[in-house]
Amino acid sequence: MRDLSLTLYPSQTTALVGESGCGKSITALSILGLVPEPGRIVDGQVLFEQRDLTLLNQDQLRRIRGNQIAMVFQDPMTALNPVFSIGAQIEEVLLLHRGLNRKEARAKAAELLHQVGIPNPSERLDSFPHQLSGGMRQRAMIAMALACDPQILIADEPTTALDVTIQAQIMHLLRTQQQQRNMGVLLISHDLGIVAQHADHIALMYAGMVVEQGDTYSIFEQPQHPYTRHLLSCVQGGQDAGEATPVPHTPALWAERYRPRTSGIPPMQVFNKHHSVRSWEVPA
Amino acid sequence: MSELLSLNQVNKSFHLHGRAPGHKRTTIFAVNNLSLSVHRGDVLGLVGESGCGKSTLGKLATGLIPADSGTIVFNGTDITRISSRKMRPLRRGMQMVFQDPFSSLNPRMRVRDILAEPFLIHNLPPENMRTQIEQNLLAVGLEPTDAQRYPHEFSGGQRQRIGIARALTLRPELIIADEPVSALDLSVQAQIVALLQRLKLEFSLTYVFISHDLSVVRHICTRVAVMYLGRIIEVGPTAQIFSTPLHPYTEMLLQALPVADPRQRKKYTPSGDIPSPSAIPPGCPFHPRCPYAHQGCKTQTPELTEVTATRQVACLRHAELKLDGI
Repeated sequence: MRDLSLTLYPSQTTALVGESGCGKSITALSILGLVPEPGRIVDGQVLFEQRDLTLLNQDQLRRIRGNQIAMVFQDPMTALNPVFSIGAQIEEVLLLHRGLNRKEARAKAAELLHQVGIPNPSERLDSFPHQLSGGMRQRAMIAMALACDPQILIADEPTTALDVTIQAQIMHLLRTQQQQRNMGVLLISHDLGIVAQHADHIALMYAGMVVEQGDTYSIFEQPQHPYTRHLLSCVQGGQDAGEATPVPHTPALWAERYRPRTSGIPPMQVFNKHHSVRSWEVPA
Repeated sequence: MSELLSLNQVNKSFHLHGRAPGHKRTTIFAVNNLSLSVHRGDVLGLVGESGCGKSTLGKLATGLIPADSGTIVFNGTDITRISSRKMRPLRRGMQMVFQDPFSSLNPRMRVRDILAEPFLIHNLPPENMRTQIEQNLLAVGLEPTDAQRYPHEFSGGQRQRIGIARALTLRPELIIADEPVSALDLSVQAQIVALLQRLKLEFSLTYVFISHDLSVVRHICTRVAVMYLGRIIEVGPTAQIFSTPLHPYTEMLLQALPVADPRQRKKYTPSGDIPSPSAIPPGCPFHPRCPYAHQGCKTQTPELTEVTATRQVACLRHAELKLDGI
């Protein structure tokens, strides 16, 4: 990951888009100070309410994680613990971060399940993850993430494992919860359809760098970077999209002004007030 | 076009025996009264949510599991209650490609041996086996030298190519591909889809393409059959299914598909969870989720009926509804 700057706003969604291995998930992990060894944050700041998270120790970070910044993962089957009921797992968050007693935590957990649209919440508290459908499991995980009213929710491919109808429901649920709670959402996705439907801002990543970022409408209407154009042509071509034989995309295909040089990668240049692109030249 | 495969009023259910105390014996109705025909040269997309019986249908069609009732005819022969000895020569005409290229290839066999198995099972002349294996590898975009390697040495996309090469070995007429690209990365998906399209022309194949991904289906399939709880609820040419769906469930699937254009944001969110195939609602099985359901839908089960020469739908209200496509 190189030279990445992102801003999250209350009650708005910023999407991080790119193909697998481009550094999307590492970005999310560095916000939470969870970058796996031997990786580390070499330089830069992660500012949350005027505090630099990179300077905090594990203890201080632990108080923020799951509390003020929560995360929803792609696969609820692996993110939820199979040997505890979902009630116990949501209650744990509340006991730990909110200092509620068992009874209060259970009542609050049932209320959360109700808010995320799980029917019969008080009975469902005693269900184990394997007893729920994929969509219900994802709802339970969202309930757990929302338990402490976080200001930021990081959703890492929250709907990739789900059927389209359930996917639409989960995205709708995230949207309504975000509006009600004034939450900033970082949506990590490889699906430009999801992003076009739900994001306010977009950052496109390629090989660990953001190549283009800005307002969703501006990016979809006036994509500047060749990589952005390539991705959009893949999904917007409609039925004829794949007629051309797909070739692996490399920077060698980019115009010279976008290509990294031995001296380093190009800087971000302003295209309009809400839209910038990584290029050696100022965009026309 | 002649019929290559046809299923007529096929039923299949599975009994789950409750072994642990307190567990009830439940029956999963995976495929219910299903009729479907596949013509030579078709690329038939079979779509639906998880648990709707798509994969069961694929296994029934290849005779991997027996049907409870109904008839399945392949190439003019009734294969419903055929003995496995008589099935064997027929199976040369139909092969499967599986979803997970990691579990469908034996990790302890070299690619050469994986591709030689069809020859051994079907007692084919061994003389030209070697050259044929090489040709098959070339046909799917691999190198003849790859024959000596093991599956773990390949990427997901390459493994799926090996699975396709294995399916091609017996020069089948019909390939049933069960979610062949859903385990792969997006750019690799596009490459495998392009490969399947090329092989179709080269070997004049017919495909049944099982998938939950409507965008891939739209791209590769000539006809689409939509399944819901073990039934076909709509069949028709791909372009028509996408532009003018006749069944509310098809509309729901299309409306749920996220369009990569922020100016076309969806207002409508599909409702309801996928019901369990062990407790199928009475009447039209879709009525609890259907925004257009009226009283009759709760009691009367609609049959798949012909609307035009190429289109069929199973909905009581299809004539009065004006549904949105994309």
